Amino acid sequence: MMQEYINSGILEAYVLGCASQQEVQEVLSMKEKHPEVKDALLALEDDMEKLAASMAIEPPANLWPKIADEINEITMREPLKPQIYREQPKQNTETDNKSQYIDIESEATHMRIHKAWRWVFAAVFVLGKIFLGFAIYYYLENRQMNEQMNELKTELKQLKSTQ
Amino acid sequence: MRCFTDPIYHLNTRLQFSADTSVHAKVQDVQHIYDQYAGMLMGYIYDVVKDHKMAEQYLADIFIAVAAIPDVLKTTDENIYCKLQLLARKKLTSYFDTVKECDVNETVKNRPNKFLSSMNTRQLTVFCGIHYHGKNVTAIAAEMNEEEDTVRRLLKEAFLIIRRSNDAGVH
Repeated sequence: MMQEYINSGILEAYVLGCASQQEVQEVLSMKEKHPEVKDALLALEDDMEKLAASMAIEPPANLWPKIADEINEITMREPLKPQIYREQPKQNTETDNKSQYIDIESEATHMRIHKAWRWVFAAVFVLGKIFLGFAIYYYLENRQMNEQMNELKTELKQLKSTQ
Repeated sequence: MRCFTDPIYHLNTRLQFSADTSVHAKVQDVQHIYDQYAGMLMGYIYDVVKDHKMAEQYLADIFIAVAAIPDVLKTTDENIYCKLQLLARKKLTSYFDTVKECDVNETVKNRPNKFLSSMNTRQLTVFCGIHYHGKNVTAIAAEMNEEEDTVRRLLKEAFLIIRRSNDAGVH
């Protein structure tokens, strides 16, 4: 009876992921109850792994750093629960909810922003430098013009006095 | 400003350290799985999509999804590769829908393999249809105009060929 079930092909369908929800539940239940089903499943999974190993393709070396960066970014975006408080057993359930939280956000001195903002900051920095350059240029030009005007005024006064 | 002797200062530092350590540990866990199984999974995905760039993108998506699984597949009695393959199959669902026909000869011709080349056309049709084209037993039975039990039997035979080829390779 059990051998018939193992030979029916349902375990192979389960391993390849094409079994229906009902079949999956059935296989999981049989796996729990009958060690021979569990052994057969392990052997089939081993067969799949060997087939995959024989057809493996090495991914490019630069792929893992990209994945690691993405995982880091996603993990940091997730709201972090303070681990040391998570591990503590629940006590004083009647206490006020507010007393269960510690103000951590307000103590932080750093903020986290999206990477896209770096281009905005770079643009603001570059534009700032350009405006500063213009400001210095016009300041110097204005000063030079004032000096020239003063010289002209002096010359005019000298001309008037000689006449 | 907080003083170094302030307990709240130490609490914040500890929390920050704990968060950084947890992220680092998670990346390390995933990297350990990646180092072991990325090549196998890449081979499978490539055989489905037949495009290196697309296969790499799917592979990256799968390992990013793995990071979101609590305890990153830390089970002792289950085959991690098979779990990853099921995850890949789930990710490839939308791709499977775009592929209409399954040319079994193409799969064997593109990447010759001792396991697949030992199967006959009917066994290959069932195995490739399910494994590389995401079909289920009912769909293949309808395509082949056969009973579902027959399709399951052919699938069983395909697995037996894989096992025998592997045993022959070992001995």
